[in-house]
Amino acid sequence: MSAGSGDAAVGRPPELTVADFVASLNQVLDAAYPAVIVVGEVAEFNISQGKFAFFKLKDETATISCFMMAFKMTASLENGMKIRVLAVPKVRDASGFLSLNVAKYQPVGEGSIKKALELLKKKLLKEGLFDKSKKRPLPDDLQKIAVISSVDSAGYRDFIKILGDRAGGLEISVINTAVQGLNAPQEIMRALRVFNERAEADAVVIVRGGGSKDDLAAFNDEELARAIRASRLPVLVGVGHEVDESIADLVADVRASTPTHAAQLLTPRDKREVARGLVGMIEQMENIMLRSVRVVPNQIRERIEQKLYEVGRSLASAKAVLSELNPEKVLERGYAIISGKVKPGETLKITTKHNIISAKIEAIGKR
Amino acid sequence: MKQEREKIAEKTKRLNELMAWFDGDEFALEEAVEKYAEATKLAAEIERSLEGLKNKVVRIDLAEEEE
Repeated sequence: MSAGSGDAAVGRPPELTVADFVASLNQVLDAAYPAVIVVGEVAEFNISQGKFAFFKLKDETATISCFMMAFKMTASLENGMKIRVLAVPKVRDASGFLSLNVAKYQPVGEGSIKKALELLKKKLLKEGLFDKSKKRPLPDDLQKIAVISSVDSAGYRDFIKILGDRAGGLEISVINTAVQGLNAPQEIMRALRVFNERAEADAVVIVRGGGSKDDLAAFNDEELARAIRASRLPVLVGVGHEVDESIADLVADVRASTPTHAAQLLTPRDKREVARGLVGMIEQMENIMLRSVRVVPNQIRERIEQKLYEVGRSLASAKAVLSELNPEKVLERGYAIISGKVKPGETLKITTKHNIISAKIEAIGKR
Repeated sequence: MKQEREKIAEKTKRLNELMAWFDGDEFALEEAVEKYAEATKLAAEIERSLEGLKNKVVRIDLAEEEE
């Protein structure tokens, strides 16, 4: 090509070195797509030297190469899984290929999410992150609670309402974060770090209401799972509905099935139940007093009855003695009663059981 | 708030002591009336305190905290 003197001024294509051209392309790409989210199916997934992950994202008509550092992988990947990546497009200097430098990714769609969840579960289980022995209970008397949630969500509002209904005097610190999407795991981790650094709360609670599998995918993030497990403060996770079980649930010290359940676990003593208990206590005292008032006459009556019994027994005994002394009883035993003056010539009256006999005394002698 | 919670805890403790006395062998009707009056007063105070006790919610700005 000839380089005429006036060519540059009339829109002649620039002449660049290969390196400059690639650099220029990258500048254009950077201006157009400082970051881009692309959704596609994983193909040709490969980890090189244990450090670099290479794969392709494809759909029905197109394919693009992807690259990321293996340590940044937050969910297990397999060929065929559909994922959403947050990436920066870049033309490689050495190869001239266009590829996506992937910063984050999340499985998309029920099948992929399920597959990724299974793979990650298997991995973390093997590492002991779900061990029950590592889980800490919530403190008995919680006073300061750190909450990580989206403050505009229905789940958060339910959580705060139930806490207010059940308890009073709690100091609740809240950090507002995304609870779905690619940025959610990082934001939740940052909030967790802040609460751990402040070290003021008795426990950290992560709450989010229900949603689709995609919406809840942030809670299946490997890095987040490790951050929850590493938290110095005990962590309670209450995400989704009862049927949803995320990796965050499995690594948490305490799992609640919903945000409402999380609030209940934090406040085992409902103040309304406490108030009912007070009424019950007072009623119990009243009953004890009433019972004791009835007991006093009973005691007196028992004493009287005892006395009467004793008196009755004495009477019966006296009656028995008297009965034995009755002259008729003596006559019945064959004896006779002799009455009259004991002098010779006098007549004595002899009474037996059946007869009364008169007898004259002829003589009286000494025994 | 902490003070109020401690007061409630103290009053609840005293109320439980009174209940234990009512349930125990030392119970005597002559003393019960006085203790019952104390218990009802405590119960009413605890109930009022519980009703009045509200949670305090403070928002923390993540970006500010990290600066």
